[in-house]
Amino acid sequence: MSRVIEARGLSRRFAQVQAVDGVDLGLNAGTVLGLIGPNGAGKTTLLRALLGLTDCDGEVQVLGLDPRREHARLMEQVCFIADTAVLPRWMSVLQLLDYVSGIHPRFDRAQAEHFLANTEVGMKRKVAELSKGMTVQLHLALVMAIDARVLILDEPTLGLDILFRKRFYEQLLNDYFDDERTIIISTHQVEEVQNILTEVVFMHRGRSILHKDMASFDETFSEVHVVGEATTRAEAIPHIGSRPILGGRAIIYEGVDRALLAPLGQVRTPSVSDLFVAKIGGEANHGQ
Amino acid sequence: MASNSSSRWFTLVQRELQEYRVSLLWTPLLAALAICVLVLSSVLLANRIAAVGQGFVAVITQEEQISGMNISIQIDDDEDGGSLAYRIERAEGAASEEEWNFSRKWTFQPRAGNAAPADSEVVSSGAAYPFNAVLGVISVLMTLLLLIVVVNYLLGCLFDDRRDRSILFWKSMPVSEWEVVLTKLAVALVVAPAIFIGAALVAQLVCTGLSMVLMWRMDMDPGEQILGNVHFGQLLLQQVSGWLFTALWIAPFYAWLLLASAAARRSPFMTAALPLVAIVLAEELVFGSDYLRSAITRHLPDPTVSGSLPIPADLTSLLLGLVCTAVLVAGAVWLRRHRWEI
Repeated sequence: MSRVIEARGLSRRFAQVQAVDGVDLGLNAGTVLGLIGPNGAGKTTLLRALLGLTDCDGEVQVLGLDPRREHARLMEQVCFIADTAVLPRWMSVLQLLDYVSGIHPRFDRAQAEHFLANTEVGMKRKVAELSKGMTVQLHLALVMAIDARVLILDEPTLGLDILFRKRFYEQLLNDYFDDERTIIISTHQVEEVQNILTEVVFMHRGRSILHKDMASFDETFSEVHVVGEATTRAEAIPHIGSRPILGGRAIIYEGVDRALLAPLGQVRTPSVSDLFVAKIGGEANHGQ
Repeated sequence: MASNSSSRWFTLVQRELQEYRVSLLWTPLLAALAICVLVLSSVLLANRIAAVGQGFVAVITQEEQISGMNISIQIDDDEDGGSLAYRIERAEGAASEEEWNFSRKWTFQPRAGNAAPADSEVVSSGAAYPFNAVLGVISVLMTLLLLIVVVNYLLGCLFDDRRDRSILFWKSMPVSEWEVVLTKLAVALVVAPAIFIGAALVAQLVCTGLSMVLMWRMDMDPGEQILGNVHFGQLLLQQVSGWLFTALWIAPFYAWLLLASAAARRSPFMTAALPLVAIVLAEELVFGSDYLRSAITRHLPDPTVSGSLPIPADLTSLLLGLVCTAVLVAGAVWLRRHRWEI
């Protein structure tokens, strides 16, 4: 299967900070990748490098194109929502639709209008008059009506309430995603996206510290809830993180056989966010 | 594909006109309207004068001697399109038969320092068709307004979208920065002037009509006095060709403004003005010469000189200017690609 995105040794340095530090990333079609990391981990810079919006060292190819040199051509196949509220505020919804249909060869206006019909976004309203949630809905409607092969979403739901967020991801999964498409989502709100992800990348201080297939997640990671005496025994086994829970501790292991853990307590698969906290916490301790 | 790419350009230009609707569309239309209204009120006012003047006319006709008449126009040269005021007075002494054609004495005296010198192209070309010179005043006013609007447009157009971050949306569209920057330059050099010239032309037609009414009220033959002295074909040709040559001359100035707009982090105006002032001052202080200043001034817009064919000596300056335009536009494109974050 041909790679949709291929990056090797991707680095970007700003004056004081190494924003992205030698990241390798390879994605196939039909992937939904969650890019997860704390603030300042380099997620946005990495995504911008993939989009050709920022200079970087290393090799990048997206759909066989160099994003830096062939940005405009790439944008026929790649869509992105770089941030909430970047739609031009002076434009009306109608003008926006006119513009995208005049410019984008793969835009289906009727489909966008269909998506918008289910929202409260009126055609004659200006973007400046829309609420933040409605602006995101509008942007999503535009993007979903574009028949693109790659969609990159950088914190697309930041600052939205939970109803909007849930609808956003549901719509994305039901009306947009298929085997031909690749979606990258960077977000803090891990819980809401973890069931739609097929792969996950953790970033910390510009490095990719974990890149896992969600299918192999169960095999690799396990979480044990232990109480009482078992705690000491459980903590003796090398683990990547532990946190207090009601009446005991939850301990997360990487690459430890579940049969070995079962006698200690209840074994389950950790949530992405708990694993993220454990991993980043571990990294932070290593750093000190 | 051809229709596809032309619809692309149409969409890009349409976008500019939508964003700068007030300055690029409403301003010329309202200015033209303001001029028409002012002329109309002058006609109404002149009508009153004419009523008073009928007494004189009676005396004049009895004496079988008709005086000449001076009509002067004063221009208030301000941003909102300016105002025109006709003053009609009787000249001392009798006029000879030749001077009967009073419109030869149409003159105009701009008060503001930066307005047209009396011997500018606009006026001197009016020799054959004196009323063209009068209408030329309108086109000078409109050109002045055009320059203010376009300079403002150019300084804002590559800065505003970076400031409000909507550049992230524009960059998500399959449009190259070359297309973006060249569209803006084309709007400044071609589209906006076309709109302003169009509005000026409408105002000129209306003013011609109103002047004919004025003549008719004053019991003169509007056909002979006005239509005989005006040539719209020439007027249009003069304005269009005048602008085309002006465009060639000021292209580097516009490109510089685009570069400043693309480079600015706070104020595009300062980014545009300070380096020019600094470099000119530096040259004068260090070398005591003013080559740069004269080279730059040659390419600064001057609304009163609606262009002429470049004389051979200036051809170098013209070509150099066009080379500079290309370099500056390339610079603006580079900045848009690599240094767009504020």
